[in-house]
Amino acid sequence: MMDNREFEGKSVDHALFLASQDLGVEPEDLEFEVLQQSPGQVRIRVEPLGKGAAKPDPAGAAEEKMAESPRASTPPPRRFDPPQRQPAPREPRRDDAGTQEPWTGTPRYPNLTEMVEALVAASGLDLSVDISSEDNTDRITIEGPDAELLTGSKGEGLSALEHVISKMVLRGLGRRARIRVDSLGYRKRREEELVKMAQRSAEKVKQDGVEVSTEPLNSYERRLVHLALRDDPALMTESEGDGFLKKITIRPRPSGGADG
Amino acid sequence: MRAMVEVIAKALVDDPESVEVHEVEEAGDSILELSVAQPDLGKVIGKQGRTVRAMRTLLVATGAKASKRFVLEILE
Repeated sequence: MMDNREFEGKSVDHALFLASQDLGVEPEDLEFEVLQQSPGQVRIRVEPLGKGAAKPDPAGAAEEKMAESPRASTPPPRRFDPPQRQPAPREPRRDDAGTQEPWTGTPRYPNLTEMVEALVAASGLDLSVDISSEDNTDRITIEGPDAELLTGSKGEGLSALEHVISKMVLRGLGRRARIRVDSLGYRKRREEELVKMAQRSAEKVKQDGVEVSTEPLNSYERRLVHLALRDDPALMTESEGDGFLKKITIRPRPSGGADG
Repeated sequence: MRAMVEVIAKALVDDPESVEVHEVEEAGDSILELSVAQPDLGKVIGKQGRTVRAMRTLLVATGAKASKRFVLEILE
């Protein structure tokens, strides 16, 4: 299959990260399968999730993979978790299949603007929305008297909106897009802070020769940290943990060999 | 806030006709009971409960404005 690509990394996350960089999508938008795994060396095969939506019948592909899967007995394994880090979902697992099925129906809204405006109007919040789209990213800027309600508690509200709108776009508009929601310049400030934090931690790692872990970060934030430190030959960065929030451990790169 | 949950849920499911949100007042809180067609449950819950968690987060923000606590429950 043409879109299937293989990537190697120091961990599953690392390989996924490299894959997402290479393919220009979010790690969470990739289906992956672990091909080979040894300490510090993981090979995965990835497939962008959006494919299903474009092709009406991905069933053949799914079956083909199911046969290879060690977990063929579990319900539709559309996404392959590495065996050693099975996440413990708080909600029942049946949700896995639901969110990843390609949606084939009539769009419910004529466009993104109307959809987001319907959402904002229904929220009862006093907000105004501005949308600009470039490449595969829709940037939604929210301003207004109630914007602070969304930027509070570390911008959780913005992330929640982002997630909800991404899913609404996928199903309600029948397309896949990377949605970035910003308000009051919050994201930009947060991004700058993150990069500074990464650099401070990197200094500490280099000076004291210790490992430093960040706070739990989402995939976009992790990407910024990985990118900020990518070019430093004295360091390596690795995402660690389960779930969609993971910490990044920054550690000295072993001087001897390439893999840790 | 019933309306917001409804707008979101209807955009996520395959069967929007079956989406219902009931608002029940309980000890000053507002319980929003969302029900969807059985095959659509996973779509409103999301992978690892991410979608329902996002909706709850948005309800916290809107609740702050209304000085009210909104609790989202998904009926099965």
